[in-house]
Amino acid sequence: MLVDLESLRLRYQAERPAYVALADEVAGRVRAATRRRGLVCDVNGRAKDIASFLKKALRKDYASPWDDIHDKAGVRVVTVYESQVDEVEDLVRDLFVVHHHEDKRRSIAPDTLSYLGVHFEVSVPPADPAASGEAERLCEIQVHTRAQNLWATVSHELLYKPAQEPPAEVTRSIYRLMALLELFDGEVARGRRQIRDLPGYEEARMLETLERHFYALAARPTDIELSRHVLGALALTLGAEEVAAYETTLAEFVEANREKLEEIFTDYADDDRNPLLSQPECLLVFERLNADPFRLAQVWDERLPPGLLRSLSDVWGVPVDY
Amino acid sequence: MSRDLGRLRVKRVIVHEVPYHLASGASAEPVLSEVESPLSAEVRNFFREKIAGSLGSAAYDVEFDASTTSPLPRLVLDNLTAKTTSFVAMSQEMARHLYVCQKGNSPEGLLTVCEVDVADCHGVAILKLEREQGARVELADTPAGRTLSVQHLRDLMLTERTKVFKVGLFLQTGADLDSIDGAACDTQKGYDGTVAHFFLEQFLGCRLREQPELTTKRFFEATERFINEEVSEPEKKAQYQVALLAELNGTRDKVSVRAFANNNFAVEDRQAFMDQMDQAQLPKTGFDKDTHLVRAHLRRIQMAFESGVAVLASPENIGEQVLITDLPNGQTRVEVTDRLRKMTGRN
Repeated sequence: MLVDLESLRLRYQAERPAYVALADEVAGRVRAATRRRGLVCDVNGRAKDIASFLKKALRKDYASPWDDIHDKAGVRVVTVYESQVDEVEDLVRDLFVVHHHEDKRRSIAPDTLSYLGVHFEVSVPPADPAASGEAERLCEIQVHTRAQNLWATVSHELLYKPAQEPPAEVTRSIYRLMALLELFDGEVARGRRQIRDLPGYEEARMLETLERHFYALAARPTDIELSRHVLGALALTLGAEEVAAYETTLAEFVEANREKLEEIFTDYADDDRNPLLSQPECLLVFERLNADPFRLAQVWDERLPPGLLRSLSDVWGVPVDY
Repeated sequence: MSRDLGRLRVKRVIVHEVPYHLASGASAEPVLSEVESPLSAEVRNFFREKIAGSLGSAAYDVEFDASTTSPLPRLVLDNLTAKTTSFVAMSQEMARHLYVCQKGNSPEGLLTVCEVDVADCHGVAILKLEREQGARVELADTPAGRTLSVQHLRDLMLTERTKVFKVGLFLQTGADLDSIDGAACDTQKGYDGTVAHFFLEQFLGCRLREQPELTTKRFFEATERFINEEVSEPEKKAQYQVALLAELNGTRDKVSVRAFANNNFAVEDRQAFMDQMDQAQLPKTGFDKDTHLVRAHLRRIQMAFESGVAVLASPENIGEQVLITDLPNGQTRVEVTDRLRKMTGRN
């Protein structure tokens, strides 16, 4: 079918600003939601440039290019770990209306090497007044790991973009790299699981949980040695069952006190009198102040400077000084 | 006050110096700021922590006294509703009134008035601070009038040269005096103290929300309920009951609920006890003790058993003439070692 390129160009030129706004809106929402969950990932949005749009319309031979090109607005979410791809998937389903979903990890044959990302086509829920006018437009969201992202970028440069077909040995070497990247993600995940299963890893896992929530509330550099020192003492306020359930306990605590925590971290952003307010373990102190200030005070007084706890308790509004 | 003081945020602050007021009248006049103090994050947070910390440790729930001659209730209500008087003028009138009230040996100090928010409630906090000797208050001239500079305020507050002694906090929950949620404390009085009469009644124009004899009775009942319903080991029950009677029979004229839990209960029972106090809407910080309504219950401890056997003993006998032991089968052994004086029949 012959494409009326000029009318396509004019229409996309006219509507592209709306797609720029849509990409920014979707990226902003994903960025805020990942931050809230403490997921470390890169989120970038863009509207396809006019030349790419027209080239795609020509190359793909669509029956209706305007309707069939769904990535006029696109957002890329790049995670550190493979397991985080699943977390972002859940989050996208919560945030948007999903029109199409494709998980390449599950759709390709086991004996085939290919890109393994997850793709969505979404629109912003129409009931949301902040997104009025964007409801009918689609935005593509790609979710993949850094390794998969590397593959996507390199393969695009070497296999698809060149004006001529690459030689067979180049294609072969790219596919070898693809296998390597899949192995890379798998080994990173396996190593991470093994470390997390080591005996005595509970405290480190608690710190990881605390960091996730802390970074979602306050973007500040922290001192990991201080965290380990304080956490070593604070862990004594928790029984074995409480440590095992701590991820859930802390998530519920942060959710129930989100507004208060946000106020505190905003108010103390330029106030460095108490060093623990810049540390993720202050969340554990606040949680313990709510749950059992007596045990906290007892453990603290034996191992840490009492003045620091008194100051944190004044900030949190739960006294420990009797 | 049931509000979460961790949500307290200080919006505006003004500081006035209130000197000694000798009965002879030969004393300096208050030094009044003419504009509010500019605030840094540190100073704003300092006041937030001092208000929350002081009230969290030793607050009394208070209400405005309709018969008071103090202008404070009127000024606070106006600030929280109509705002016909400016923040500065309101605070100046408060400072002049404090000067009139604190005669005799009340130390000189700084009256600090803050407009605050606690979550979605507006409020006014009034602090009396005492600065270390030699730390002079210096008002700086600004185009709008005299006030404490940010640096001077910081030096006074953050270098531990100033201590907060008395605090009143009033939060708006409605449009009239009755709907204002009030709390006051006086850290200068220490563990056994109460809020100084001149500060609570003459200056703030307040009275305690609940009479001490009623609070004491509710504390006694709630604590007994906790001991009987939440504590399973009989030895512990007896130990806690003895502690309750000792607390109420003691000479201190104030009960600090947290300190009572901390000093007498096993660490694993303390928070559960505080939760019970919370449910009973008892002040977690403390209250003035008046055992008038529970005096008859404070002399002896009665142990009642499933079989109908009852043992009556004075608290001082427990652990001495009366020994209580938990048995592995869940039963309790009570041993009385004493000289039998007489036996009487009873229905």
